[in-house]
Amino acid sequence: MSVLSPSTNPVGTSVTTSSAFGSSAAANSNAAALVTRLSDLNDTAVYLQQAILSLVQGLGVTFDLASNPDLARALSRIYNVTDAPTAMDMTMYTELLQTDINFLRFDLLNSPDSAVQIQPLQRADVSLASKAFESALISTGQYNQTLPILLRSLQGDQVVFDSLMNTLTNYPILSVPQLTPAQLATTQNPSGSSDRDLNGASVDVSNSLSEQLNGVLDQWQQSYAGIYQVVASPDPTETSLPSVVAALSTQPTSDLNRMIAMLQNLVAFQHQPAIKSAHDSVDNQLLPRLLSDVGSTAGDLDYLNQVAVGPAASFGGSIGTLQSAMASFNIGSILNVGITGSVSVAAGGYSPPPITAAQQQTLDGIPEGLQILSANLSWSQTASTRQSATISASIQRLSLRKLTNQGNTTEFLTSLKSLSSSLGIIQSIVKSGANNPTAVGNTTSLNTNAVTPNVGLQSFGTLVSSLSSQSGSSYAVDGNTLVVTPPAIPTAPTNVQAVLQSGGVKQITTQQLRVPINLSV
Amino acid sequence: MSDQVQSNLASGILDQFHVSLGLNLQTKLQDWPGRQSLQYGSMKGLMNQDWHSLSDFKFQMNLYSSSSHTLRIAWSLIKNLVLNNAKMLASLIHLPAFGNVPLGSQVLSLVGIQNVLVAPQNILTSQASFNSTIKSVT
Repeated sequence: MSVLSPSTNPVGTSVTTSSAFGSSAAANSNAAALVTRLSDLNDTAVYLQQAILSLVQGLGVTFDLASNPDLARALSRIYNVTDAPTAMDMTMYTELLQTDINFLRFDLLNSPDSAVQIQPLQRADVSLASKAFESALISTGQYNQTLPILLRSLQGDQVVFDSLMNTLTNYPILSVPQLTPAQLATTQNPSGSSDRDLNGASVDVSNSLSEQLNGVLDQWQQSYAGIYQVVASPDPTETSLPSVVAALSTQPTSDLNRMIAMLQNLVAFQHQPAIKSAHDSVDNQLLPRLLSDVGSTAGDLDYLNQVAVGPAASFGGSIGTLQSAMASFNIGSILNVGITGSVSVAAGGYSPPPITAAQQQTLDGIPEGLQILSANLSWSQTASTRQSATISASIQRLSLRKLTNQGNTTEFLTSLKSLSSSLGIIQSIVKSGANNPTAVGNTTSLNTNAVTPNVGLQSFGTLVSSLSSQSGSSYAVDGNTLVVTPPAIPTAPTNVQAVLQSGGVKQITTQQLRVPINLSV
Repeated sequence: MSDQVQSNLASGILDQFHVSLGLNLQTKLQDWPGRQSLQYGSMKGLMNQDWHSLSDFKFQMNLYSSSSHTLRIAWSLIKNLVLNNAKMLASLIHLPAFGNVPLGSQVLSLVGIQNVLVAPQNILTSQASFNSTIKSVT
């Protein structure tokens, strides 16, 4: 059982804890709750990738290297061979994808002043090869061949989760051994100390940042629930197979061919461009890094606010008195050092008003240096608040863009699944000749003909046995019932099931669906 | 023919490519002379074929040699040697995937011949292991 379940435990509510974080104080912290949640989301991302891979095991691409010599050179360099591999299977692709994503992790770990970099040519080669594979998949317009493009999005998510977990575990509440209740009762000091500024030995994630991150993670689990639904469930077209087949088989072949042309056209002009655009977008490529950087900055600012900016609001002594006396001042008026007034604008806003006579009376007798120090302290407080607001908005916007991109891809894949299923059924009917004979004459009015379904149970069974399911489901006819077995994907671990259910998945099951076969329309 | 997606790719022949890829690490090209050298080196292989000064030289030599029978014979012997651009070629090596690459230049490190450390991807799992690997590159 997870230590905390943030969705059901509002911030500040005491809950049952485990010793997973070393002490009850650490386990009860906001940081621990977020780390646990991120870990579960990470497990969910891993599980969804396994589920996708289980459905596309034999998938691969054979490359036309003669028309793409750049790809040939890239592949020969990646694998250090003279003759480049002319095909790529899922095992090769997943290794290339992981390497591409690990370049991102490298950049996050590598400090800006580091003298080392990933060899630019390897970066370009791996990116070219993995994207060539993905582009080929998208160009098929087939759901069961396009599905693996979600892998890149999910691996990008893992980069963000790891980075946020790293930020959170650096909070003193988790990085410094905390006192037991018995030690606290004897008012001992912590034996360990944080290496961070001001040694805030038990600083936790603030409630405001915790709530914000939990809100973002709520959206993330909804996105994952959507991906699970599309990966794990048969398409409605498939579960209504008898009705769909019965209705379609009343149509003449010419109508079925019209449908095929229309649906293929829809996929080519709507789904493929939309999926390609979402896939190639910076939202899918660059955002994991931006979100990781912003998350790390948010943690630093949150810490600073708690150990310095917040306590500074209640300074005592002379500085505290001075701060109170000058609380109503526009600090830009104090810090206006002339020339362009840029400091006063930055500190006090656009065109700060001059100091009034009453304010001047308060300042009389206070040395200018002290006035400036006090004003600078106030400026630091407001600047910190503004920075926090900016970073907070950045987290919201970046996560929204990332999840919108993932959500759009999932939605188009869901729609593509229906389209691919319908196309497969129509093509099977045309191929098997299970529909009405092709009418002759005025083919523009064929739909108005009243026809009697001619699909019998036997021919339906034959049709079903030849039908390849897009979702990876399997069909069988049992008497007068169609048995649809959902896609065979791995069973989700308990914590992953909890995430998916919190995200909105109502049922996680591999139970068969039994549909009565009624071939009348 | 274009790229073809296969639902059931016979992948036995691809088993040799089911390998773990390392991270190729190298020092950054941070100095200006280094970048200049890289750019010059990258172009040198091409310049060997259409070096304009060489064309000018050939044009002028053709022009002035035509005035004398002896010079014409001498130039016809020399120009075959000039075309080889031997001194320039001596500074290049031929790599199958890259063409002519200058010896001893930064280009070699860029294409993976020199100064590249291949690190396993699991160095990214901890900052400590990452830092020690980075140190070994510099």
